[in-house]
Amino acid sequence: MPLIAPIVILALTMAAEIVVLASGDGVVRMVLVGGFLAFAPGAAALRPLQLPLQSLAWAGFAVTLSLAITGIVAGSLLYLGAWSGELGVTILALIVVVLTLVDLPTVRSGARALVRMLGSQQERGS
Amino acid sequence: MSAPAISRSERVSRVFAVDRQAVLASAVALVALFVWALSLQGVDLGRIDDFGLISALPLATTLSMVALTVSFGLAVLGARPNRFVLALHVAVLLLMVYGLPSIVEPLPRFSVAWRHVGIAEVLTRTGGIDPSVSAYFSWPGFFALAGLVSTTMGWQDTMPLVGWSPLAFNVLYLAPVGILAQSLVADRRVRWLAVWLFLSTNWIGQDYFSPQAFGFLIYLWILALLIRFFGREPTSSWPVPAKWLQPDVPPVEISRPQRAGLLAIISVLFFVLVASHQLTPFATLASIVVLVATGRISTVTMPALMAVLLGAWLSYMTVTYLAGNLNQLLESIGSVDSSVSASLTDRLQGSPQHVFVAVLRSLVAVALWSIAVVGVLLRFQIGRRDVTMALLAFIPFGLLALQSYGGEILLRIFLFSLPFMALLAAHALEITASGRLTRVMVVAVLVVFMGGSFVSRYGNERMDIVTADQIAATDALYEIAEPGSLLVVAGDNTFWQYRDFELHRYRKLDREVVAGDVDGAIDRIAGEDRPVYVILSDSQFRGLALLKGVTEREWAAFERRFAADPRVERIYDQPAARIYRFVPGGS
Repeated sequence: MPLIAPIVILALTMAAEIVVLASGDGVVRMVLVGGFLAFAPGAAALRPLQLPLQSLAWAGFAVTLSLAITGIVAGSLLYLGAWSGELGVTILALIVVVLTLVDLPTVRSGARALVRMLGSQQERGS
Repeated sequence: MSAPAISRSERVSRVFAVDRQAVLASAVALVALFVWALSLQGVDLGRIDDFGLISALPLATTLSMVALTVSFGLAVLGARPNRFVLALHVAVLLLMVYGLPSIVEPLPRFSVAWRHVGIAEVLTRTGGIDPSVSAYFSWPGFFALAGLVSTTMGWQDTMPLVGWSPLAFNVLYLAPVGILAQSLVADRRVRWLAVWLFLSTNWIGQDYFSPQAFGFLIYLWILALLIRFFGREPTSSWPVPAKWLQPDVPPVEISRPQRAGLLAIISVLFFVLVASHQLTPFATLASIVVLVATGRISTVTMPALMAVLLGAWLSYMTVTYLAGNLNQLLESIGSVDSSVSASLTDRLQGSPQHVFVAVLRSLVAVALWSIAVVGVLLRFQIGRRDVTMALLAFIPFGLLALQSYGGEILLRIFLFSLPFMALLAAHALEITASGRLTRVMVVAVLVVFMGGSFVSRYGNERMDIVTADQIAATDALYEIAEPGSLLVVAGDNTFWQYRDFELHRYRKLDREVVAGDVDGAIDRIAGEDRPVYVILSDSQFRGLALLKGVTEREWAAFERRFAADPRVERIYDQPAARIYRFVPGGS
């Protein structure tokens, strides 16, 4: 069950990336790319926090945060003179993938173990 | 101590009674929606006068909105308000108020929204930012976002986003407003009443496709998150006695990693806000400073971080804008009189119907604020001391000392204070509605607010509505005018600048038109060494008639005399608009 949301987010991300790179159009592009831009970055950033919010409020927060992250990527592309829709979606997709992977249970437990191990090595060293 | 036992039949009858009320209220909401939807076939946009959109609506449309409001009032003040029923009413209200123009009007409304499409279009077409073109490019965050959305969606421009923006923004506002209500108020009735008041009194229409609409969303989220997750019960008694800040609702505890993550997200949100809008970061920062100073939230370093972000943006990214406007900005600081005058008295002019609408707007605002003040007093009387809402409601008034903001500062203050004014007013209404008669009075107040706010919100519709022939004329202007031309209009209400924004220069002759000064108008364009095109349109006339009281006769006389000048050549002639080329030496 905990894997369903990351899988949905990653699938949406991949689908949006493919549609944009393949220059697809029509309703499919609108739904996939619109859904990705409006939801995926914020959802991927919010999931690891596990905030105690009701689902509708959480969804609203995810949308707002998605727009904010998309805005930062878009503004950065403009100021860097590297404006491109494809590049924008690719950067957003990378952000989503990294945030989603960080949130995977195995990665989280692995990270915790790594922190513990580093902590114990440091203690031994001192 | 256990609750007194009740029999099974009594329990069943209670459930049934609640359900019956809920079913009845839901049915009223759905029937109102059905009647409203059917009645829209009878909307006659040709009948719009200076009272605005209300003059074009069939009686059934208005009555269905009244029925919805009455049903909501009775449902929320009933014995046991059902949240699903109340949510249904709110959803229908959203569609009725914020979706209506997109359903009945042929094109997205409001001239400024069209200009915003043009700003985003410049960014996507040129792929860069040139702050010297316009102030918009010193705060490009929202336009960059919109541009990336339109580019990746495969659209030509951001126009598909414009029509439904008000509905979308108001849907998005609901979540943070709900969290604020949940975090500040224990009573469920008050929360729902506040949400209703927030939606039904928001007449100022700043929720169109604009940076301020997006900025307001971020403002709401930042305050909601800080109060919800970083709230605390103050212990110090300075500067406000601690007992006056004891929250009605205990703060929600979250872990340290959650706090760190959330603070990072709030910083990201504030950064986007700083890059998107001039005014909203100041309103946000002021509110947070007061919350920290009174010990109501625990993030003491947050204001400093925000001030650094804001200062850094202003210092580095808006240099071009500030270089040309700093003196003017500094001069206006502290000029409260001129800010009030620009926001209030300057707007009370135009046609008699428009003056009525303008007065109505002020009355809705003053009524809401007055009821909110009553709410503060009534809360004190019943022992609820938390003044956080009152502080947040009145902090935005400090913006009056900053500047007039193009005559809009009072509108923005109304907006920033609205969620908290709505909460306080909801308290007043809920506490007042103790008996049957007072409940009826409260429902009547909701109906009056709904009506007054709706008329106020769409009171400029005669000029805000866009028609295809107006756009055809502007398209023709863009086809004719070579890059670098000076494009001239007679008034603000022109649907233009939605493309090639940076390729032309712009001028308006509204003062000359109002004064009937054709020679003055000619003088203002005669010295140009670039091609000059003047477009005179019905939409400009409607704007000048509504806001400045220009009559049809005066408008026609101005255009006739202007067209008679030997240096003026008519090159486009349609009922909706005429385009003139100005040739300095004469044609």
